[in-house]
Amino acid sequence: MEPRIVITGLGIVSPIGIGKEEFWRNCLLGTSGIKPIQRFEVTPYRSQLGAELPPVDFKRFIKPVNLRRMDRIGKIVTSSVKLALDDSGIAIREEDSNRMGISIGTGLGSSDTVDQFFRSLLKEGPMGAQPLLFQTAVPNAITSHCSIEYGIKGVNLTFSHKETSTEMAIAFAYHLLKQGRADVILAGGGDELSEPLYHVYHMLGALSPGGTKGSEGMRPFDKTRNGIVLGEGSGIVVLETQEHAERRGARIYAEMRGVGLSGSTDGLLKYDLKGDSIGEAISLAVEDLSMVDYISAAANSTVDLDRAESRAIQKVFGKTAKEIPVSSLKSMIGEFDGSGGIRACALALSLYEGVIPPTIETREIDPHCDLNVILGKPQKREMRSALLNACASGGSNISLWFSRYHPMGL
Amino acid sequence: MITGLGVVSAVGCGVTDFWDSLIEGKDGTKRVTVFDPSPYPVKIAAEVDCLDPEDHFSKKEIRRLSRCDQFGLVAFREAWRSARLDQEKIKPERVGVVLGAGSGGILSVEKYFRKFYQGSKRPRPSLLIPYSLATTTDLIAIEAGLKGPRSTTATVCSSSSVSIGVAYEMIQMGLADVMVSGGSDSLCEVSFSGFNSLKLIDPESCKPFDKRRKGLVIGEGAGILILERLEYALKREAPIQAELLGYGICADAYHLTSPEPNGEGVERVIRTALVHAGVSPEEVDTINAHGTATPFNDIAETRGIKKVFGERAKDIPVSGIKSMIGHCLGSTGGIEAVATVLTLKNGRIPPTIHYEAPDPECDLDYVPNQSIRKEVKIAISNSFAFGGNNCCLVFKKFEK
Repeated sequence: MEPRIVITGLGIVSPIGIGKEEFWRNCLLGTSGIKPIQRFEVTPYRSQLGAELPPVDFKRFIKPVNLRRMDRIGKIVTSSVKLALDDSGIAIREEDSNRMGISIGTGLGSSDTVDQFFRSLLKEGPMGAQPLLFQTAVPNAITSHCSIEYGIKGVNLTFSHKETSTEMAIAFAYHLLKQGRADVILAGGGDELSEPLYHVYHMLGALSPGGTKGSEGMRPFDKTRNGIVLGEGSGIVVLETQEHAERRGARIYAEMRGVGLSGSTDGLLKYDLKGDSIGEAISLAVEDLSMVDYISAAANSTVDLDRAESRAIQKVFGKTAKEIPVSSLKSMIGEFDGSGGIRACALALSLYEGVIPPTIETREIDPHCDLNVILGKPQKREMRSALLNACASGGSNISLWFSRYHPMGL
Repeated sequence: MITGLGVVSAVGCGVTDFWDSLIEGKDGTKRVTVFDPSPYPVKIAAEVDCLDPEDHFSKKEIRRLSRCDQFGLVAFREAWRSARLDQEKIKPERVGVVLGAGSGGILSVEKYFRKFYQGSKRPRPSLLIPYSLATTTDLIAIEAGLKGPRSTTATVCSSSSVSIGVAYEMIQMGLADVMVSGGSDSLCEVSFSGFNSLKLIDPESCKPFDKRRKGLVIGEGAGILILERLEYALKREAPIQAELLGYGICADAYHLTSPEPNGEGVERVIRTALVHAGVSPEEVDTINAHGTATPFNDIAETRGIKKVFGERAKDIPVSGIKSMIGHCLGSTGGIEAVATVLTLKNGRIPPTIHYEAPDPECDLDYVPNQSIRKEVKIAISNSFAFGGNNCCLVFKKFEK
């Protein structure tokens, strides 16, 4: 019989808090992580906002000898791994390192390092190329940092597929655990808000414009939404087989119940315009739709996605669609490819504590997004199960289904 | 089951030319033309020169497609055709795409940022479209209307091998009937200079397992494999090229760029793959090596192989085809998987060329310089990435 899979640890490095306690406190306060960008110059752009991390002392989480080799995104993700491991109470030395795995998603990985490396090439030619920069520049360097730091020798995955990167990392980890390929997998990931990345998003027209073009901001489902505000951070969930967790007396936040994967084909820079593919992912993930008491939405303040996701939810859930609380954490932490790690952590906390964080900034819901969006204040609610949606431009869609944990099953 | 194969490489485009070149021992190394190599101490790479984009794409498409996208699409079209799949007859939600990526569209992004940073003319934004590693994966799915599971792996040197393992799981878990897997990658200055700066490049040629070896020759291309559930393939009378029995993925947890020197990571991943495949070491007939010709990899790999296969290791032909096609980074796992399938299908093992001076520490049978005829039933393909992200695939000859 396939094992049941549970979440036993959460590691969060986010614009609204470092570590689970600070993050969750701010979530429930509806704190916005979105501010004018500080780390680089944005005056040339019509968009000025971002959800940047507060200053982080990475020495709290990573040994100096390894810290030296890491770039910023490597530090961010590895810190979230450390936080998750500590939170889970797993005694790494007592574990079989071959049965521990790591599965990381990152949309744009070391975009800043690659850019720095390329600029040094332009400036100084090939003889100026710095090998230490290059070895951290590959997307799987992040995963390698983590596996080296903690001696994790089992399954080892890195996914990079835009806004479904971390959700795929979590989904595949779930599959591997079900197959008995590991006992514990640290899954999730993140992305950083780097200057070259910001430039690319601006040039491709993805950012919510300010100034004369409109009101800049992150307002999922809002009638006046006009694009994303970028954020950064990393989230890791410790996924474990129920048996392994029970045996070591772990605290269990939630159970992972199902995964739905699908793809739409509307265009390279387009989301699933009609919502059929998103609906397909939801239907594949959830065995019992009547049990869904909360949806952590993919909605990211774009005209297309928020509407398509609403259509999908309405189509799949039918009459009950309007009753299910929906919220988009991206209103607080911004949109970034690797947001799913943090969102999965938040969803586990929602199930564990029975409370749904609000969607902030949104004022007037678009009639095309006729859902029960939790605005302004958090909502207390005992939930049986909850859904996390992720939708990428280009068409990848992933839905993850989690339930409140009961030793006897729900 | 593997039902479709497509390949673009420095030694030939298309399965037939590719295979003929491998058997012939053709060297794909040439002077780089994709960017100006003159500032570099090393000016060679296994560059693809058999593909004229205008034969496959319109001028408008060429402006928006990166070189990596072009290779991927061409190889995909060949694989799709060879699998005799029909867009009209498939259920799109049951056909997915998981590819492995390396540098993706960085070559296009470099063109943009070179102009941007040097302050010359306004670079065109369409060069930034392939910024994400998801691009080639999405383009293939969009072209063929594929609505099943979709993602991209990103472990560079083992990326497209891992993608094959992920695709296998998608089918095993009932999430798809058909999966497109493998990967695509192109030369770019970041990779080229990066490996140069790490002093992992051989200025002359790629000489796996040879005592004089100095490192990689960077390559590029695409290797696409179409995986299918057995019942589905039989039902539609698909042409079956070979069977994928299983795979292993694990980590060295040792160093960011060097492999664990005693082959411990290599041993573990091969053993994991064999266990998953239900195959004992005695049954393995040939190995497609990772064989990058770096001083460290070839020793570690040899040691790892010996640990698994013991005395018998010396009797197992080990092919280092990077000697011909270069190290194709994100696409190497896919291209080498195609070569491994063809080895099983055709009963011939490609050589390791440039092999002249045996290294006492690498004393296996590396099929030196000449291919050999041998009926082989079970073959494994190794791919080990930077940071010790290791993957091993196990294939079996398909016999009706």
